[in-house]
Amino acid sequence: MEYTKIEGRSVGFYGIIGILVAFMIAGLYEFIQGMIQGHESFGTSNIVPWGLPITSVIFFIGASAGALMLSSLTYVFGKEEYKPVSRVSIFLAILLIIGALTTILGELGRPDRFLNLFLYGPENLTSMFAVNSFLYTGYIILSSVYLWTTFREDLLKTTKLLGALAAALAIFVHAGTGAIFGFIVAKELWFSPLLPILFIVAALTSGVALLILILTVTFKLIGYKMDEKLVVGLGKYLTAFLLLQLFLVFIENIVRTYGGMGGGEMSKFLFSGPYSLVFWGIQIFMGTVIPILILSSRKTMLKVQIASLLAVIGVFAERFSLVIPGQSVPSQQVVGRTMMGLYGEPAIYSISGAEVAIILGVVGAIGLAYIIGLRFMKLLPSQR
Amino acid sequence: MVRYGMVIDLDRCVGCAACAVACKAENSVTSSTPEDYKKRRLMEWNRMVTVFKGKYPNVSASIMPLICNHCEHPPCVKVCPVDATYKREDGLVLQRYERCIGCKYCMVACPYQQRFFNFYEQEEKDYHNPDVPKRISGIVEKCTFCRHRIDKAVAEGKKIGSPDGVEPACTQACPARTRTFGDLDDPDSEVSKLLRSRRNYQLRPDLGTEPQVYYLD
Repeated sequence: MEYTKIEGRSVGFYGIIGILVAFMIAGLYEFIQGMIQGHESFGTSNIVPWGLPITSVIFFIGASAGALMLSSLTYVFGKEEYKPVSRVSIFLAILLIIGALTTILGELGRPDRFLNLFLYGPENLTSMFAVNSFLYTGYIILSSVYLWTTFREDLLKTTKLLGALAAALAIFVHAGTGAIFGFIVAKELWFSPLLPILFIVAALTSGVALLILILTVTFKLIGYKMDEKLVVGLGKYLTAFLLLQLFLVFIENIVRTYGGMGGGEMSKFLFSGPYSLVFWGIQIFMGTVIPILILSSRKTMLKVQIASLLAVIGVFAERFSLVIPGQSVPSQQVVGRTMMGLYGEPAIYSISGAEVAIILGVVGAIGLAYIIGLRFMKLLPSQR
Repeated sequence: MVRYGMVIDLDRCVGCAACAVACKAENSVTSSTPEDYKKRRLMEWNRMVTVFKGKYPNVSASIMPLICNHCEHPPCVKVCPVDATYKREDGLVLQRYERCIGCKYCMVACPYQQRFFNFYEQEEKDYHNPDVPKRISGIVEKCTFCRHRIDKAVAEGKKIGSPDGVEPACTQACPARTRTFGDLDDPDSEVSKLLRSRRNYQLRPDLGTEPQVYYLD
């Protein structure tokens, strides 16, 4: 199969670059403000120290792992029909994980000290953050080599091996991300052995859905005709992942409700608190049930695209309703006794402009790197 | 081995919050604004809460001072990716401020909400305790059991622990002698005697953190 670069001479090309650069400038501005003034403008508090940036970090990592695992369809399992999108999906996977790490940098209280992770990380390998910083680095290096080998026709065997390794590492990377939350005994909504598995399934959902969206839009913009069979085929995978995700979310919540660990306060907060609309409305109904219904009818390109968009929003909502309501309720200090007044009340996290700007900045940087990559590397198939 | 701990007798506590004030003064804990209160960003190494059970008219409520529990198995130490927070041999859970990257992982891991993030730069005040290091913005801080007092006492060879030795500021300030500080491993210390003599409990023992702060009820 022949690959090609994009030409990048149209007004639209520079227009998109302009918008993305504007995003980046906004994000960079807020990042520098945060470094100078601290996180005063963030929406976070001492009860909810992790806000929207962490939500999007796990979303980006998930999408990255999902995209990489998808590329293994071609390079490991030999499904040639997905070859047109596999190379670019590895490239996107690398960009998304780098974007995720950049977002973490924007979220750290002291981003200037991030090297401590590598200096002192080995001293405390019980921390999932420390383990993950090495997993992520290994993942970036391995996928970059993997991407390089796909350019070499003579290295087919190596590509296959590296593809399998990278996909396996992607599973560990995202299971490790899930473990960041799943190991925390203090948070009722997080402490679960199912969480790493749920993360992997959500990664596959968001990875496929995001790929479908980005690729169909890219192909449309540069005027290539995308094979409808390919999109419908990806849509089938999306259906399966969505069903599996719905099942896992159901199982996890039924266990929580039945068990009622820690008084069941946090589950109650998730189901009927101020964020219940995100959970029921966006995550379950709009982000999972409706895409499944759309995909269960006869699939067309447009239907798959709409379902993908909804699924991406759904997975992001899933991340949100894990991270934010999971922290909001202060845990009981003496079991069975509620704390009076402010201390017992759930903390409400309101999204701040600074956090949104940092995330937009990262999105801008990912988009810009993607376009530059398409311009200078032969990533897209060259059929008209 | 020395293993410092605290026993808090809730029967004696009147809820005057002298411990909270003493802690703020001793450790130069930054003062919070009404804005911080609204945003739930209070810096309270030591705070008073009221816990209650039941509905009116069958309510039982008690006042409880809360500090860092200096757990035997601290979840915050387990999750720190840069080994900034650590458990010292004498049982204190401490923080290396100069190493903290501000990832806030310890804050979500602590079941007692005893870790506080510096959302902005602290103002230097004349009355700040020179023995306590300044905390810059973007890092996490917590109760240290007044480590500067303990370290100083060890260096000078003074006795540590209630009733006649060196104590943390909160213990010293309590007008009702609610708190007793001392070595949990020493069977003759005041804390060990109290624990033997009365029924006691720890906060959230179900989480397996083994707090070294005990409450008498």
